[in-house]
Amino acid sequence: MSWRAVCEAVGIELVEMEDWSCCGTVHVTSVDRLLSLALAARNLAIAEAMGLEIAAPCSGCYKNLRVANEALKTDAELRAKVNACLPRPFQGSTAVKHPLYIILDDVGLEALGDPPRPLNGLRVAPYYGCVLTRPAAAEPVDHPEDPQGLDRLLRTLGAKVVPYYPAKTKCCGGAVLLSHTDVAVDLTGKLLKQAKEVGAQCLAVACPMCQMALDAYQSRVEKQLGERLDLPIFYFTQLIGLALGIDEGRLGLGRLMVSPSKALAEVWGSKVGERTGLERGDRPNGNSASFDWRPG
Amino acid sequence: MESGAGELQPAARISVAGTARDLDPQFKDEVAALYAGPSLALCCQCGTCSGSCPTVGRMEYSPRRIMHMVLLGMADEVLRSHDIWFCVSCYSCSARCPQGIEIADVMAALRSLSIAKGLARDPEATFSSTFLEVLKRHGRMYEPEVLARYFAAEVNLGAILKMAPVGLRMFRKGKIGLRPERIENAEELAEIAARITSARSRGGSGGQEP
Repeated sequence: MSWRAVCEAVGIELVEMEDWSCCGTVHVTSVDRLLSLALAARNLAIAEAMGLEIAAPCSGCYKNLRVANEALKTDAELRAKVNACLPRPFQGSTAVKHPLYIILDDVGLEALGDPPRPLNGLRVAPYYGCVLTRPAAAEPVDHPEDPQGLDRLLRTLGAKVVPYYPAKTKCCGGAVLLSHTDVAVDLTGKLLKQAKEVGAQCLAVACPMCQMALDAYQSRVEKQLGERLDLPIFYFTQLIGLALGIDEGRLGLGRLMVSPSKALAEVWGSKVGERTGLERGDRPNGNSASFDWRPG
Repeated sequence: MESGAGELQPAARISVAGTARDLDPQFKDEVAALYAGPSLALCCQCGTCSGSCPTVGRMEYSPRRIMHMVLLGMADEVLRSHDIWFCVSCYSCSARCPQGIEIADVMAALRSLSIAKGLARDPEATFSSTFLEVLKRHGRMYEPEVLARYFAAEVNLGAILKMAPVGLRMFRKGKIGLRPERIENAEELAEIAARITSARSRGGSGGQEP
């Protein structure tokens, strides 16, 4: 919802792909790689026929489509195999992009600089998730483990970005959310606890699956950790929308399980003092020392 | 002691994962056929992958040992393990492997082999297979059917009860619908899947091919 609203505001025209189908995400790659490539290629071929690039707001789908696009473009034998199974052949004439990098690279932060309703120092933890920047693309959009795109975007909107490395690209466990829920609750718990420890009031994410895990499962995490977290999880275009002054009803804020009202009231409803740089666990280079990232 | 008499008494025993009696030297080639990337034989067992893995604490072997087991031909142990299903595909291992091996993709290849050979015994295997079945029918996701089929297969009352409040909230917030969205050409997906299966059997290798 908020992505559509932001596109309208910055002049991007979104055209729904005709008869698009599910690409299978990570689950079909676990069953049959060739089928996964074919399902992705079916959608790539639709976009090619429309003569448009694909914007994939979900990092999981973005990774699937992008990797398929690259693999089929470079491997002729694979392409022949897959095309033999498709109703419309894949030609390799489209590109797959993620909204975050469309905003950063195609639109540019200058278009958002000096927004009408800046976020007034809202303390945000920028969470990229794992497959947005990994595996590295043929032409990488950002650093695989310490990307900066979302950080820069949030600062442009007037937020205060809390130090969130290395958590920023650690997996939330979304891929196994239903089958190994305890794993996802553990991983999500680490991310939320880390954000809390560095003073975040909320998180900004770039993937609806991550948003689902961090938001819908936050109450389970709270039970497991034995503490209240109260961390609203914004899909990043919701924050762009807020800063641009887009009507909140168009940003889907009501769909969030953890309500953002308190955090937003703190930055807009009352005076919020700027916190000094050296918060607990901070190191001068921005890394947070206090959290235990050893595996398991 | 006379030379030739008696046996060496070992000061220590080094145990291997399981006691592999049946080694399959073709296994690594079978896996390599489903994987596109630098050769598995480049693995020098440095353990960086295991050190980067967020779920290694729940694994019986770990990514490093799985890689070694593949190279040794311990097909049964690998394909029956839960390890490959605890992988969350976060690509940390792939990003850090000093030899450039796409370990996360190797794990995916192992998962598909595990299902193809009927050796998978893990809720995530059931979930992924169910996901694909529902996808082939509708062309898009239809969560209620996936959940119904998944829980019928896994029969885990505790999990169902824990999931219920989340599911209800999602439904109230309009995030999931009761009626399936079917695309116009949903049968195309089943057709694509069928063609891939028949192309594979015409290819004659019997296993999954890239």
